[in-house]
Amino acid sequence: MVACYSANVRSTIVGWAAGSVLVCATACGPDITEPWQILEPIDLGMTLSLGTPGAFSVPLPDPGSRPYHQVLPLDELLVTPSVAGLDGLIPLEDLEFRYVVCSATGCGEALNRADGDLPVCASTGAAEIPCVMSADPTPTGSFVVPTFTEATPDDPGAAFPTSGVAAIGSRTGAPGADVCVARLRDRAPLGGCFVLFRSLSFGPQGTFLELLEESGADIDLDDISEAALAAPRNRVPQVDAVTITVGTNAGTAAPGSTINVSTGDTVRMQWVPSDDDFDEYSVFTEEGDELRISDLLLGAWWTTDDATAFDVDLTSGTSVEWVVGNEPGTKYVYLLVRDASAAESVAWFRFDVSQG
Amino acid sequence: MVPLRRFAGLIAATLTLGLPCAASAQDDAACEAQVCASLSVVLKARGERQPLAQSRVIIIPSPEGAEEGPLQPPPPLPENPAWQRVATTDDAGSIQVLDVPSGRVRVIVVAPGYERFEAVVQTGRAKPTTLFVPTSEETSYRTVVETSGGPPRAEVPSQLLSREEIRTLPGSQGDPLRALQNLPGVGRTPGNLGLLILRGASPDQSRVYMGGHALPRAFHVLSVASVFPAEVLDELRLVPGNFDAAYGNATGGVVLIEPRAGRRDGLHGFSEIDIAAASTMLEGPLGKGSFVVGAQRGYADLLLNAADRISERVTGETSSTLRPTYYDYQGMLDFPWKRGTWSVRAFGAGDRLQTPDTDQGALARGGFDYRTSFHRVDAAVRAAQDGWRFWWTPSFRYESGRLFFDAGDQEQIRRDYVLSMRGEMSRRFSRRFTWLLGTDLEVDGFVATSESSLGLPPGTPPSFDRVRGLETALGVYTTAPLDLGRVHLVPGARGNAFTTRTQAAFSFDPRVAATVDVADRWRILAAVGKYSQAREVTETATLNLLDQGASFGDASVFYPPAFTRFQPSVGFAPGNRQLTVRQALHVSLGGEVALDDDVDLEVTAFAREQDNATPTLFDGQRIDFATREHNIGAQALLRKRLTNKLYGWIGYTLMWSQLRFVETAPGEDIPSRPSDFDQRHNFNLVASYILPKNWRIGGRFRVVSGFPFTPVIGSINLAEQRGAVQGRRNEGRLGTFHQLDLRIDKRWIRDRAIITGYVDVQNVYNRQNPEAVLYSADFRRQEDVIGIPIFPTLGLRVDY
Repeated sequence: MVACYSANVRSTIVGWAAGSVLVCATACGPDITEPWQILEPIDLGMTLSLGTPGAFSVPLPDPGSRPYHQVLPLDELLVTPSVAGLDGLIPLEDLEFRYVVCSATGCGEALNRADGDLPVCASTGAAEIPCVMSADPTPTGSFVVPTFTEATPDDPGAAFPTSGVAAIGSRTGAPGADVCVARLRDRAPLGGCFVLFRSLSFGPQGTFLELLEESGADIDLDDISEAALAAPRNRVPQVDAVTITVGTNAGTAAPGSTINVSTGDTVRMQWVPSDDDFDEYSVFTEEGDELRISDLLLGAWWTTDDATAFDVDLTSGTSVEWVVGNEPGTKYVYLLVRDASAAESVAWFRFDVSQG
Repeated sequence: MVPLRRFAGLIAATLTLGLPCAASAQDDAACEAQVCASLSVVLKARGERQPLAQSRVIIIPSPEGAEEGPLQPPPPLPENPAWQRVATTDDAGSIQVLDVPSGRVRVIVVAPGYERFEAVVQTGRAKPTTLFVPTSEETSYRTVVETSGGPPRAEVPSQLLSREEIRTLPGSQGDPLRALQNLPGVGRTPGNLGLLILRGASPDQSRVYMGGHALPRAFHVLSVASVFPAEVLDELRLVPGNFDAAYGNATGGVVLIEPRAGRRDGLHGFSEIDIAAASTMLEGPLGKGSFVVGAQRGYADLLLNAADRISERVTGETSSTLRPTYYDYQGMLDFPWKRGTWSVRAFGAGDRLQTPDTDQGALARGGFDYRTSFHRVDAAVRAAQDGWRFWWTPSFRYESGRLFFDAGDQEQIRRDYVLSMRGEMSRRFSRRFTWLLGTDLEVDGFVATSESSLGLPPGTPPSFDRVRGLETALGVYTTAPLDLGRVHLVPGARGNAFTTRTQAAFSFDPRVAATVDVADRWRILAAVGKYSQAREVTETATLNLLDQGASFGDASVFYPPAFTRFQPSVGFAPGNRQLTVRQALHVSLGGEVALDDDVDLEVTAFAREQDNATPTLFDGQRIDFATREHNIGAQALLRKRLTNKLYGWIGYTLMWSQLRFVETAPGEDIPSRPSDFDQRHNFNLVASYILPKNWRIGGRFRVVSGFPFTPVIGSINLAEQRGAVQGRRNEGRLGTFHQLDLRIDKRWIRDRAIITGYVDVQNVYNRQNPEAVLYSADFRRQEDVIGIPIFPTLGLRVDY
């Protein structure tokens, strides 16, 4: 019965409620720090990439300059978090995480912990348990994607053994991954801890769906569009360079490079993707026309500067205009790029700001 | 001005001469010298217009050249008037003196509680001349209503609020139930809106009774106002715990409202308008009885609509402001009969909350429309015969609720046809022993429908569900008050039976209350009792207006769980939960001392231990962990009761309210947590004083512990957004609330009406009181969401 309406409806209602008289009558929202400003280390993203291919993935075509993002069962998955500090990305060797592989029912909800239970994580994996946690803290994670289980009419979802991966950690010893896990379990403040979750993306989609059908899942490949079936294995977009324009001076900068600007300068930055980032491929329509399909690429920007306008909205594209703040010194700008399959990576740039 | 003492001397001399009504020889001579005529005068209170019975009227010759009308100021009284008459008004406030020398005469009125009043009146008029006598400023103006004696009830610590207190309390805008929030044992509500939090109990565990029947809800939508105005009540009694066996299906406290009879001294009424609502009422005699009719309409929707239209023209953006609409009405008839009184009362309330319409009048895309109303007719008969007293009151209530979502055309409707009945008989068998037997019954026949197209392919008929059913609650209770000299005992018991469509549950609640008169001005009160309430098994659809983590720009706002009680909902039908009965034990021990004739001090310690009777599903599956509620505390009240000029009190409540876990989730080792309504300290200082020239000034100062809330302890990076990682429920606590409210009333008294203007300023020193918590997009920074800033309200009222 109508005990609770769908999340979509609820979110719609919340949208209405945002402007409701109740909120107006009971509360006035204060100013709060802008989301693009980095005042302390913060996790920006997590790159999932293919490690050693499993039995279903061999042979693989050459990935080019980008690692594969999508995996198939029995592939090794590499997990690399990106944590922004106040002086550049924190080196991986200064980080430690415990990695959690979540089952189809997911530990994302449990990690979200909106009054729910802790994820029950065992040291060994099996498809029926909610999640599996890595044995020791490590900078990066790797695990073998579980293979399919046999789907049954009572449990059609059993064919999807894994839904995602989570990372819980911090800078090494500050406070440490195990402390963070304990805090999460005890619902203690997570200061200094980073918690990330990403859904796994399986691909190539056509191969994955065929394997799924072979495992007993009720999938009619005839109902799947040719564009989906023909999509190549998705790769991780990466930043090789950005164009930086200060006034009338334009140039190109590689991640990690230093750019000199002055206070009050207007700096325009734009990511220049390579062909490998687009994962382009062709399909043919029924009329025989070739249709080129390429990935949707998005970017989000952060800064350690007291900027007045910045953009962390991924839907806004891959460029940003930055009005440098009034405080001279060294500032850092971070760029996270992501494609439609949620493959992502992070780059950063150093700006020496002199008095303008 | 003539000194009053001298005037009193004149009266004394008159009485000594034995001339209350008859003329003296000197007066006879006056009549012989000139033509005599009759004089008819009616005395009425200025403004209120009630007749002044038993008032002395002295009639002497008019001053030379004086015009008809009030003498302001009156000239000195003559040492030896040429003649004089003295009369006393009857119950209608009239006098008729037949032998008054013709022409203009000087009428002097002396009535206790009223100013000395003089006027020049023309004799010999066919119709009586009405004189409006001003109320003395030494006496506060208030309407006195006779109350009929109710049945004997346990004398547990409880508080009464008068209509005048409710009307003039600062910060409460004349709302009766919000006025209760200033008393000890009653918690402050989130956002200063309307809820009844009695001694830490959840609002749904307490009930509001009107005329012996429970109200389906006490407040209008979004809790902006009570569903009835203060003007219709005779008495508002708060019993925050250990209430009498006559009341059941509640484990918190009760509020008892007794509707009043209309006045019989003429047609009276009022009209009032303020920033949020307009109300009016009319009352008067009807045959041998009386009537009262009244109505109230909130017009926030009209104001918001106008504001939105302006905003849309200026900004070009469509408004998304919710528009709450509410109304309530009351109609009451009271008549005497040879063995008692009988009454018929009709009242109801309706609410609507909707998202704005489109230009075409249709519901905007993604919007919703919520409507709820109830309409009730009560009859009540009180009678006495052969030493027995009877009270019988049947009631019928029609209730409806509808929630419609544009998304998926989802609609849920529930209609309830509720027959309620209460009957009591009592007899005083001896000076020491009284016995009462009573029963209350509520039979709720409901029809619920649900329709939805959500997720269905276009062209598919919507899914439809319709359920009919019956839910009942029957109580049988008895009390036997014993008067043992200094000790007064009220033992009682109540049996309850609850049924839904397929289930039944029972409970038995013994209760006892005692008072001991320790000395003339001292007494001790103690009570212990068991209380039961059927847990709600009806599935409901709720408007999640205050979802935790709702977006507020780039940030997210998290409310204390107490806020969720404001969310409007519509019930459907009993689901697949077992019907269980929540059971609580109340214990209270206190003392009262009368420090002066109108100053009392009360101190009460209380405890409440409650088994929440966590239900299971029909298949035995647990849906929640078993819990108990544990409340303990003490409350104190130093109260100056309403007298001539001043009323006020200092109230303080110290309380711990916790939820204890009988079972816990694996890995959880927390034995308890603060309940959603835990408020450690609650201090209220209230005072209202009448100043000269019909001014009144009042103030309220409150200091209250902040509400518990569930803090966000960190965040989880979920790619597209960050999700909040919440800590243990109610582990955090908002900052202390403190606020000063002031109210100034000014009355302009005219002959036939009293006009009152007031300004009620909430949060005078603009304290930034936290009501919720706002988290930055990365949940690393937080700020308090501030409640109502300094907020003046203007109001205008006309009494006649």
